[in-house]
Amino acid sequence: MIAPGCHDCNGACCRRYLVPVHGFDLHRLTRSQQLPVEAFARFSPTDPGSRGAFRLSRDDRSFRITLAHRDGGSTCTFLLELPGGAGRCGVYPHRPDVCAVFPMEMSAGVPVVRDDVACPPGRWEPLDSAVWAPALDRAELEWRIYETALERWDGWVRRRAAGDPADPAMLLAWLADLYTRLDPIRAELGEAGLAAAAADVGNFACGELDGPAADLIARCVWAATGLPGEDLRVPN
Amino acid sequence: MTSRKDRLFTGCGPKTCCEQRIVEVTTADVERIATALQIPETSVCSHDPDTPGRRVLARSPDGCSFLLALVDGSRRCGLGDLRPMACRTFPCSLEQGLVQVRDDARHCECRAWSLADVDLAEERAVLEAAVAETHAQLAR
Repeated sequence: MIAPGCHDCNGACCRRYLVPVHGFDLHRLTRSQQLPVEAFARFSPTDPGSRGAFRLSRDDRSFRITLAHRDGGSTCTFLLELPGGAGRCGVYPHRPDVCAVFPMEMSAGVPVVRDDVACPPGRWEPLDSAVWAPALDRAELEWRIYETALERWDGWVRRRAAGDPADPAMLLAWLADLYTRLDPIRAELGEAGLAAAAADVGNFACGELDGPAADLIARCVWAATGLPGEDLRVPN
Repeated sequence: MTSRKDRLFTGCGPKTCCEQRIVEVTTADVERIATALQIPETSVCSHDPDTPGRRVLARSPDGCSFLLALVDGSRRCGLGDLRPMACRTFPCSLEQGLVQVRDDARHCECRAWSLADVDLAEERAVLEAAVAETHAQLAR
């Protein structure tokens, strides 16, 4: 069901933002739509150290994966533009986490309304952040899993020869393999286990490395297959 | 677990049927889609000018309004499990009570459908549900 603040919206957010996606978003979309990542996503330049940033070569240039825009404009490739001007998401049950938690985001572990909302003023007031917290925590957990995996990727890229950048297709294949290996881990934990890890993700973000979130993230990252020539000694 | 037919349908890139065919919708289809997406019925369908009382799924010059055209040229259905009964039953029909592949689906541009692509029990259930929706509409 469409979120309460979105029922009469024509998709301003879908026509304006560059939507960043994490590895599980890509996994959900490629599986549910039977599409290769290249059909709906792009590598976009971004600041080193920003959310979901990774590198493809030893220099400081960083990229992130975002949903593709239609025809060089700023409209999301998944937006349905319907007669009468209505706009609706064409992959709503499988949409990326940043869309599912919109207009909220986590800021230093606290749910806040984004400061760049495209919605009319007052649309999301009053806003009960407790309602949004579980979904935001789950999204944050997925971002942390993804970013920890990307740290491993970046470490591997940094050890490559200077004139030998990594192939973007190799990153996508490595991520596809990793997230397929995570399916049984997710199944084993179940909703309750994943919710417990999500509720703990704020502690992980603060450097707590022996809680359920840290355990899950470590398990996830080391479930990935080794990259060619990668030093695979697991820490500890 | 998704069926073989669902996988074939989802993964079909050209979606020629969604581009070319006029899809007749039932009242139940329209209500289901309009309610789930919270859009007016005029965004879901239009009246067929040639046949009074017949409504068809909204179309744009590129085909079905709910068809997503992706950057690699492939297409996907933007309605997913919400799609109308006529789409969900394709490529089959009930002929004298038997599940059959429709003649126009044997010569689909993308794929020559056969009964080997469908689960007969599952297909019968969807086809019978579609018949029930049509009967309910006629009874109103």
